[in-house]
Amino acid sequence: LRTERLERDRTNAHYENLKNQLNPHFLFNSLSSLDSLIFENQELASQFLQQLSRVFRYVLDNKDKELVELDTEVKFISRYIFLLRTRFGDALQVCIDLEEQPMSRRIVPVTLQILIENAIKHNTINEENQLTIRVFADDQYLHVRNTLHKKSIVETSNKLGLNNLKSLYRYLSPLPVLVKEEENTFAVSIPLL
Amino acid sequence: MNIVIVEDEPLVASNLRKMIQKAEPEAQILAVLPSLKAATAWFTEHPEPDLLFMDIQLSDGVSFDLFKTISPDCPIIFTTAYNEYAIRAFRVNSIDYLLKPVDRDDLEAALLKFHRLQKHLPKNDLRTQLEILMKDLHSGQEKKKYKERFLVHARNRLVPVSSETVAFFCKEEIIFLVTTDNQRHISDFNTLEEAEHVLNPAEFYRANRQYIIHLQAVESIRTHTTGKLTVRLRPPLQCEVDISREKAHSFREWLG
Repeated sequence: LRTERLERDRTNAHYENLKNQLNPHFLFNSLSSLDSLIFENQELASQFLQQLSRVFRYVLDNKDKELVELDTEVKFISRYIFLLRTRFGDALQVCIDLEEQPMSRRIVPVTLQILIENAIKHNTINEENQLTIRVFADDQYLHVRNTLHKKSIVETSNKLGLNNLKSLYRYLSPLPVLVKEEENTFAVSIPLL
Repeated sequence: MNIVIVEDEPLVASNLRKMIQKAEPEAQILAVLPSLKAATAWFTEHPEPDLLFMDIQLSDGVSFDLFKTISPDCPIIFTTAYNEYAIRAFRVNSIDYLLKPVDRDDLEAALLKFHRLQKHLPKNDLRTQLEILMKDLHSGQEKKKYKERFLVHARNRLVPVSSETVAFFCKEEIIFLVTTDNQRHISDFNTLEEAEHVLNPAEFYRANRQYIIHLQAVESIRTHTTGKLTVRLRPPLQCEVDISREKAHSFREWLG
């Protein structure tokens, strides 16, 4: 039991780190896009800046919470997606296909962001190779599925993101986090709590 | 002067284009290429520009890959959002890099540097520099430092254990580190794969799904008619570790 607790603390600590470092690539790339928007489209620039602050505020506000309602996380993730769509244009398609029922279930905060960021980090996104991400749920799981077109090299991956999520959910749910890679798709399923 | 930009984010590309035009009004921007693939195609069909601006992280890979298929001789100014690694590499080279969002002054300084270099250096010198740079990047990846000490949980404390006293890592519900005197500790690893990543392959061997064993823990191996191996570990360690037929050969090679 003691080892179990120690182990859990450790997993939590790893996850804390993960949340706290909203990828610096993301921040600086967003700022670069903003630099351009300021000249091209002030309206959009202002919107972009506000959504960017909200994304960071969400992470700050929720990092100490163990769980949030899916509804809250989805609102945050829509802002995050807005930022990404502004940067990548139509090459990135995200479809959030959730009914009312799962919205009151709970997940670990920033889970969805980590999964979407993973998809973006590992896959080619351009006009020829669109990245399509679909978020949907059933009674037990929240699924994030994306088209698979892997980049040749991923420079900033430490492969810990998914593993940390897996070990963290082991303490929260009897159901495991499922990862399924097929020829053209990659899917992660997170147990709803 | 002819310039080509390789950048995958349209907004960033258009901004860079404007900034370059402002800093270098008589320059011609020939193309803005959004991917490695587009860049490769462009360079096979067109003569080289005088200067290339290139994002390091592209949507379909890392721009250094471009040099595997074509090797442009023209000077390059790299751009990157955040990349300690690249920044470190560029410090030892005189080819410039710019951090995004690109600062106007930095851009002007880089262009100035380009003009200066162009006067004083023949083209192939830049090429040589780039080769050195890529070698650096490469060896940086290969010269990986392996972990030599491991933190383990002992009661409420964390204790370092040196690699010389490790007998094996084993996976049960969690990953345990067992020392040569048969002390069992909770390791700081989440998975054996994670451990494998940082362990020196000359010392450690991934025996099966459950074990990574250290060379020094091996006492003897027993062969089976099926081709499978069983490794006996040095006392006081008590367990035996199975090696599958498929792995038997690589294990024997590793053992010496």
